[in-house]
Amino acid sequence: MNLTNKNSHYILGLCLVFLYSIVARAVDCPRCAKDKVPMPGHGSAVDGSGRLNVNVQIAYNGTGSWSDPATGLTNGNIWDGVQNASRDWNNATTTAGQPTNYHFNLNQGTPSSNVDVRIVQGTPGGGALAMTRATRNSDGSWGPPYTITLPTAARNWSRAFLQSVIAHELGHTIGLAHAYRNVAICGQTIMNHTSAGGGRVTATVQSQDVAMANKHYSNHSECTGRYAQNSPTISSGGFIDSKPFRYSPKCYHFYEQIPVYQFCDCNSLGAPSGWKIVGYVYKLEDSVCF
Amino acid sequence: MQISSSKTAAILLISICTTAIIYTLVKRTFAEPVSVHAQQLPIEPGSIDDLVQNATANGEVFVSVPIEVAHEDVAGFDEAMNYYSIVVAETLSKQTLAVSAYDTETWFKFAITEILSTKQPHVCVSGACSLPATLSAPSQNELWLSKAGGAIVRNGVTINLEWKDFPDFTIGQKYLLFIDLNQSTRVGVPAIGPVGVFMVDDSGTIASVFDEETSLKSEIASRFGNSLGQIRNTINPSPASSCSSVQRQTCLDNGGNWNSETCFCRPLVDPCIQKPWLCD
Repeated sequence: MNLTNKNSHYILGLCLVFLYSIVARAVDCPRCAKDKVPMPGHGSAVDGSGRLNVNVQIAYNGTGSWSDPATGLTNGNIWDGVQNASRDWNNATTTAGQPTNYHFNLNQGTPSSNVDVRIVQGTPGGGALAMTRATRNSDGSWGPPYTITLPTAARNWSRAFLQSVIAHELGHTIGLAHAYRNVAICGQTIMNHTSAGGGRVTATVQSQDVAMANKHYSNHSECTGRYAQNSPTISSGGFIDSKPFRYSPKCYHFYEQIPVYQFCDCNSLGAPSGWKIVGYVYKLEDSVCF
Repeated sequence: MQISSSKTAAILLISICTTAIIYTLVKRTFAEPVSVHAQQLPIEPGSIDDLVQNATANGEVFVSVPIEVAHEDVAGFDEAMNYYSIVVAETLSKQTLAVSAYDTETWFKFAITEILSTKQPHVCVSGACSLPATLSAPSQNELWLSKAGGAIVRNGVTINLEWKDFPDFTIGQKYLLFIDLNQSTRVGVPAIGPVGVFMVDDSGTIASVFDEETSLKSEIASRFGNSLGQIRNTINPSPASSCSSVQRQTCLDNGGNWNSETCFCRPLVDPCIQKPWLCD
C-alpha cells in the first residue's frame, strides 16, 4: 500500500494523539490524595442541585478573625474572594459537562460544629501564599474540617489573584494535591502553584480539576497521591529500659582505589609522551556494619 | 402637721436606697477576697491550642499534621535565575516558632559558601520576612531562611505541622538554593519551596530534595548533568584557562578528561602502564 505524504502525516498525528492520551491517562493531573476521605458535607446544596452542601466559613471572631475592627464586618476582599472561588468550583464541569459532587456555600451563620472549611487569618510562614490542613480521623485517614490560613497581606491582593489562591486551597479540601509545572503533560490546572514573581499560572478551575475531584469522590483509594506520609502519633505510656543492651558493631569499609597520574615526557626514550601512575588515593565508598 | 402620702413614699424610697447602698459598700469592704481568674480566650477550632487539647484528651504526646503550602514555581532554570538569588550554603542551626494561633515557622541559619547570582527580592521587601527578635542577626557570611511549618511543644504535647513535600534542611548539609533573599538583611525565603532546593555532595553533584519531577529539576539534570560546576560556569563563566592548550588537546585527543582548573589530564588508558620503565 502506498502512503502519500499527506496520509503519513495524518497517521503520525493520530499516533501522537494516541501517545499523548496514554501519557495523560498514566499521569493524574492533578493527583488526588488517597488518604483523604471525601467530604461528607452538611445536607443538600442550597442551589437545589442535589449536591453535597459544604459549609465554608470565614473566621469572624477570636484569633484568626477576618473581621475589620473598625466596622466589625468581614473584610470585603476576603469575602469576595471566597464567594468567587466557591462559584468557580460550583460552576465548573468536566468536558462531559459533569460538575463536582460538592457545592461550596459561604455560610457565616452555621454553628462551629457544622463548618467544613474554615478560613482564618494567620502567618503561613516562609513567604508562603496560603496553607491548608485537614483533620485526622480516628482511623488515620484525613478529612474535614479543613483550616485554610491566609496571610494578612491577602487583604491587599488583587481580586483575581485572591480568588485563584482560594480556589486552589478549596481544591485541597476536595482531595486534590499540588500539580507542579509540568504543563507539557498536564496542561493547566488550578492546583498549579503561582508563577515566578507571584503571578498566577492558572486563573480558574479547569475541567480536569473537576474530573479528578470526582475520581476522589467516587473512589479515593484509586488516587495516586498522598496527603500524609506515615505521620506518627505517639501515645503516652511505655517504659524506659534501665539496662539497655548495647553491642559493638563490626564494620566493613569499602574504598575506591583512584590512581594518581603524573605527566612524563617519554619522547627522549623513543616512546610517546604519556602519564605514569605515581600512587593511589582511596575514597571511602560505603560502610556496612553488623 | 400632715405629711402627704407622696412625701411618705419618697422618704421610704430614699431610705431603702440608702440602706441598699450602705449594705453593698459594707459587703464589698469586708467580704472575703474573691479570686480573679484571668479571662481565657476560647480555643479556636483548628488552632494549635485546639490540636493540643484534642491530643491531651486522647492521651497523645506527639501529633503530626501535614500542611499543603501554596508557593511560587518556575518553568525552568532560566526563569529561576531571572527571579531568584542562587546561593550555595551549609545549614548551621534551626529554630521553630509559633507565628500565629494556627501556624508554625522554622528558621534555618546557613553559612554561605558562595553566591552564584543575586536578584532583587520581591517577597522579602517592605519589612516582610523580618527576623524574630529571639534570633540573632546573621554575620557577614551567614543568612537566615524561614520555612512554613515545624514542630513546637505546648503543654507537653509536640505539634508538628509537617510540610511533606519539603523536608527540613539537614544540619551540616550543603545546599544549592534558589531563594528570595534580601541582601541587606541577609534574610530570605525559599519562595519556590522544595522546587528550588538541591543537596550538594563533596564532588559537586547536586540532587533535588523533592521527589516530584519538576521543570527545574529536569533541566538541571539534562542541561547541567546535575553538576554544580557546570551551573557555576554557566552563570559566571570562568576566565580563559592558563593551561597549555597543546597538553589539553593531546589529552582530549587521547580520550582523556581534562581538568582546566588543575591542568591535569585523566587519561582513558595509561600509556606508560604497560612499559613503566620508559617513564622512570
